[in-house]
Amino acid sequence: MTRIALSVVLALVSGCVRAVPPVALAPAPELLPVELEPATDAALADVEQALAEVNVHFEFDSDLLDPQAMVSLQKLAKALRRNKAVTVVIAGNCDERGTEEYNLLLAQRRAESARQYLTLLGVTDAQLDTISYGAERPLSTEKTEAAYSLNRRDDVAVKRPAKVSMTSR
Amino acid sequence: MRLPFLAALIALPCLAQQPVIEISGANFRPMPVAVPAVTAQDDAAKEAQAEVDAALMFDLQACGLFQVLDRKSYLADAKEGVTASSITFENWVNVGAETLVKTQLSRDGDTLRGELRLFNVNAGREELKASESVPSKDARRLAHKLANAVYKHFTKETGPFESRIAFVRKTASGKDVYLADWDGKNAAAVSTGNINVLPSIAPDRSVAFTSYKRGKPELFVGRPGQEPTPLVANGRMVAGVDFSADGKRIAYSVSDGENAEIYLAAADGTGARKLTDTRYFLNSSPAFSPDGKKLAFVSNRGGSPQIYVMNVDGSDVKRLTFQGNYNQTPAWSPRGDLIAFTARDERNAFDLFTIDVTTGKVKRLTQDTRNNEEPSFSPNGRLILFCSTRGGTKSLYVMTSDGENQVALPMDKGDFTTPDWGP
Repeated sequence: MTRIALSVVLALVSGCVRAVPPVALAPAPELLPVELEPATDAALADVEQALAEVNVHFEFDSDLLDPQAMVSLQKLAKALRRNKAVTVVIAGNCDERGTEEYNLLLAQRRAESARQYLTLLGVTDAQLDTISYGAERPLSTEKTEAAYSLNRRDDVAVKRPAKVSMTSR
Repeated sequence: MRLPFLAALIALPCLAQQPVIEISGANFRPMPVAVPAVTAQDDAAKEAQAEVDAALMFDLQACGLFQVLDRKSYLADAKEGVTASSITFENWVNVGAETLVKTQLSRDGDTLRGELRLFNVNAGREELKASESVPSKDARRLAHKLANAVYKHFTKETGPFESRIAFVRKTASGKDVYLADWDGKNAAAVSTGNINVLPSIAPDRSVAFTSYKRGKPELFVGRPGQEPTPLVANGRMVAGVDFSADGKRIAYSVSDGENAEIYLAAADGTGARKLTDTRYFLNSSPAFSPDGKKLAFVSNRGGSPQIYVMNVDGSDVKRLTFQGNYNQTPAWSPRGDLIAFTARDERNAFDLFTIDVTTGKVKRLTQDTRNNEEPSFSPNGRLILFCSTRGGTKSLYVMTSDGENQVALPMDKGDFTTPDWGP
C-alpha cells in the first residue's frame, strides 16, 4: 500500500511540476501541499454538482463548442477552481457515421475543445485529462438524427484512482 | 459452343507463358465453370466432404475469375467418374460449362487428402491435376490449397486463398480483434477484452491494433493465444497502424492535443520519427506503398479530409483526391497502381472508390448498397475486402479491384468492422 500511495504522490508531484510554467516556480511550495491532499467528499460533491449540468454536444463533423456547452463548462470551471484536488476526465464521442479512425480523431478534438476552454477559464492542466472513445460509447444505438446528435458529445467525469488508493490506506 | 472452342485452340500455342484468363481489362469475361459436389473415396473422408465443398465453392465464386454454374442445372449423373475417359463431356457442354472441376477426398488416419481435376470441357481433356494433403482437422485449408492450384492454373499468379485477414468484432462489453482465414472462417481472438480497434497484419501474421486495455488508446501487438504486448504506448492516442510490406517498419498516427501527426518507426516501435507537422490539423491512416518508399494518408489540412501521398521521410507531400469533402482510409494496392478509399458522397452515403496513383483517375466501386467502408487489398491486389451495412448489420464483403462480383464472407452473424488483408 505504501508503494501505491508513494507512486500516487509522485504522479501528482510530477503532474503538478509539468503544469506550472517556469515563471510561476515561486508559488510551487504553496501549491504542492494543496495538490497532495486527497479530494474530500465535500470537494467531490461540489464538482459532481457542476458535472451534472455539463451539456456539451456538437454539430455533425464539428468540434466547436456552442454557447450552451460554454455556459455549462463555465460552471464546471468555477467548481474545479474551488476544488483543486479534483481531477476530471473529458471523454469525446462521435455518432456512428464515418470511418473508425477519423471518428477517434474527431472525438479527441471534441474532448480537447472542452479541455482548452476550461484551461482558458483558469482550471489548471493537472486537473484535466482527455480521452477519445470515437463512436464506441453511444448513448443511443438508434439510427436517427436525434440519436446521432445525442451521441456527439463530451462526457466529463471525476477521475477516481487517487481517491481509491487514499481510502484503502 | 463452337466459338470458345476455336478461341481456346488459337490460344494454345501461347499457353505456356500467357495466363489462360486475363484478369482485368475490357476483354475480361468470367469463365463458366461447373463444380459438382466434392466426393469421398472412403467413409472416413465423408465427414470432411461438406466443409471442403463449401470452402472450395466460396473460393471459386468469390475470386472473381469464374461464373460458377448452378448445380441444379447439371445434367450429368451424380455418380459420374473423375477421369476424362469416364466423363460424358457433352452433358457439361450442354449446361454452358467451359471448365469442369471435380474433387475427390480420401482419408488416411489423421491425414485428409484431396485430388482436384480440372477439365477443358470443349476439348474433353484433363488440364490440371492437383493433389494436396492436410491434417484432417484442417479440412477448409485443403479446399483453399486446391482452389489456389486452380487460380494459378488460369492466372499464373499465386491465389489469395491461404492468406489471412484481421477484423474487429463487437462483443457484449466492447470490441475484439480477430485473425481469420481469408473467408472469415477459423477466426481466433488476438485481443483479450475491453475496446480494441483498427487492426493491421504484419508479414509474420502478428497483428497490431489500438487497444483501450490500459485506459488510453495505445498500440499493442499480439497473436491468437498470446497476451498482447504494448508496441507504442506513451499515454497519447495512437491509431491507424500499418506495416511496410517487408515488415520492418510501422507507420501510425499520434493525437497530440488538437492535432494528429503521422509517425514512422521500426516494427518494434523504436526510433519513432514524426513525418507530418501541421498544427491544428489531423493527419491519419498512413498506408505504405508496396515498395515502402511512400505513404498515402488522410489530412484535413486543406479544409476537409482528403487523401495525400508523401515520401516515407515526410518530404514531397502531394494531394491526391480533389472530389468531395470526405475521403478516408486509403489502402495501397500491392500492385502499386491503385489506392482504394472510402468517400462520403453528396447524399451522405459512404462508398468505395479507387484512384489511379499515376493518372489520378477515380473509379467508383460501390453504389446504392447502404454504406461501404474500409477497403483492404488482397496480397495479389486482385480483390478488395471491405465493410458494408447492405445486409442490415456491419459485415465483411469481398469484390474484385474494379468493383465486380461483390460477395459476403460466409461468417456467422455479428458486427464486423475495419478488415485488414494480410499475407
